[in-house]
Formats: sequence, C-alpha cells, structure tokens
Amino acid sequence: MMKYRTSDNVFINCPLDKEYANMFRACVFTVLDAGFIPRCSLEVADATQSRLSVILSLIDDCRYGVHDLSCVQLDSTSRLPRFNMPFELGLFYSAKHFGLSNQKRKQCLVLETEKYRYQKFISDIAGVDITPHDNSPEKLILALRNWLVTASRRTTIPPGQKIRTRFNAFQLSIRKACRKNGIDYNAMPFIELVQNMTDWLKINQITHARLFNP
Amino acid sequence: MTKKRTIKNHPAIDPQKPSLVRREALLEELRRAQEAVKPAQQFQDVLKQLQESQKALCEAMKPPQQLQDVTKQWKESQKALSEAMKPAQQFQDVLKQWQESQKALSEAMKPAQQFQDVLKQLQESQKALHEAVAPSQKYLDAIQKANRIAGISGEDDEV
Repeated sequence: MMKYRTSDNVFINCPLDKEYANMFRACVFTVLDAGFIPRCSLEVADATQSRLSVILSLIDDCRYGVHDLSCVQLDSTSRLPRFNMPFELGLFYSAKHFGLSNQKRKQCLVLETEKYRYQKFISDIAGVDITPHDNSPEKLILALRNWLVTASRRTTIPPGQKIRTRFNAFQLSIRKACRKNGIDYNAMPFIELVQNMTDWLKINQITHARLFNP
Repeated sequence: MTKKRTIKNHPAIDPQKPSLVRREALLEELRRAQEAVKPAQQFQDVLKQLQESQKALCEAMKPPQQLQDVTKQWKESQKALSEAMKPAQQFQDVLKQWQESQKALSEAMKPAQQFQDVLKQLQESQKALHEAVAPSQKYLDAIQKANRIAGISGEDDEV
C-alpha cells in the first residue's frame, strides 16, 4: 500500500442511495480532480471489521470531511428517519474536539438541500455554515471545490466550471465504456469507480494558470 | 506560471491494474495508431506490388535473356566456324598459289611449246625431206644394187 498524507484525504459522508448516485459521483470526482483522495466506508469490505470501526478509522485518517445531510427524510418502507449521516458528522466533530493536535486541524463541509432545513432536525449545529446544493450535481461541484480551495489553501485546484465540464465528459466516457463492455455503471463498486475516475483524470490531464503568483 | 495538481491514487487501489477507462483509452490509442499506420501500410502494399511487378517483369524479360544466350552461342559457333575454316582458307590460298604457279608454268612453258612447234615443224620438214629424198634413195639403192651386181663396191671406190 502506498504512502499517503491525511491532509490529502477527504472523508465522504454522503447518502449511498440510488437516487443520490449522481450527486455522490460528482462529489467523488471533484475531490479527485482537486488533487485529494476520497475516502468512504464503501472502500472497506472486511467482514471482520465492524462498520463503525471502519468509519472511525477513516475519520481518523482524514483531515477534511464532506457531510451531506440532505437525505434524512423518512424511509419509504420503514417510515423511519436515517441517522447515519448526522451520526458520522457527530463523530467527525468529536474527533476534532477531543482528538490530538493532528485531529484539531480537521475541517468539514456540511451540505444540505436547503439552507436552513437542518435546523428542523439537528438544531444542535445551528450557527454552523451549511451549504445548500438543491440536489444539483453542478452546484455540489462548485460548492465542494470552493470549500476545498478555502480549507486547504491550495492554488492548484482547477476552476469549478472546468471540473463540472470534465465530470460530464467522464460520465459520457464511462457510460459508453460500460455499455460496450456490458457493465452496469450504477452497480459499479466504489473502489472501481474511484479507479476509473483516477485513470480518466490522469489520461485527461489539464494545466491551469494560478490566479495569483506568490 | 502554471502548476499541475497531482491526481493521487487511492490507497486501496493498485495503480498497476488497468481500469475500464484505461483499457478503453489504450484500445482507442491502439486504434488511432493503426489508423496512423495505415498510409505506411498502403505504401508498403504499393511497394510490395511494385516488387512483384518487378519480379514479373524479370520473368517476362527472361525470353530475351534466352535469346541473348542463343545469340551468344551463335556468335561463339560463328567464331568456332571461322577458326575451323581457317585451314580451308589456307588450302584455298595454296590452291590459288598453285593455280598461279600453273599459270606461271604455262607462261613459262610457252617458249618450249614454240620449241616443240619448231621441233614438230622440223620433224615434219625432216619427214618431208625424207619423202623428198626417198626417190633418190631408191636411185641410190638401185645404183648400189647395180654396182654389186657389177662387182663394184662403193667401198672399194673409197679405198
């Protein structure tokens, strides 16, 4: 396994529903195109490890976290709300609060469909800056990209518009390849998706001018 | 001033293993390379055709080659014939020389002929003389006969 820095890791705490799949892919793609590594509980398929321990390990490894609280509505079959995303957001906050100096540097982005809807179900985080995305992948890409620039201070992150264009190009490319090879894109595992995105980005490299020279 | 951000590999991914995207990109690259090679391939095809036509031309040129061989053989046979004819030529030369010598002999013999003519004439004149002398001979014979009969020899007369 290769060496990596926690400052490159972005913990993705997003819904994994079929309806949210495109938003999730946009999120993963933006993280990769910005030069970071998306980390998600889906990357571990070890039955000997509990899901919670996997999530805790990932949170420990990631300086950055993206938490989307947009899918907290009642489940259509059980008629019960899902608390996984708010819970993992809580773990992330805890790590930052109770962790050592390295953990204190954690930063996160909290996404929601609407700006103030969260106050109705998780009022404890009132006052936290929530970013709405209106369930639009384009808005999600722009919001995530801008946040990564602000949080990391990196000057090499491509413009949001470019990431959005490239994401659409990737989607066309991967769908075509999947059709050709008889693969169900919607059923593609997270690791395979990341590998395809990484390879696509490496093949379609871009250079961009810095906005300001130091 | 431009700087490229690095696309980082996920720790759970083996970058050596090609993904679907990379495989497709490689196939596409291969297809493009094949397309790019096509003109060269066509050129090679044309070159091959040219070589084949050259070969066919060489095959077609073989009869003249055979003709040339025959010509060469004919020339050689001509030369051999000339060599073989040399003695005959020498014979002809000798013949010519002999004829000339015959001619010269004839020329040289001409005086002898004349001498023979003269001799012949002489003989004829001798003969004619004999003929002319014959009656007087007969007279002499008769005299001698008469003398003998008379006992007079002519030999005695001389003593």
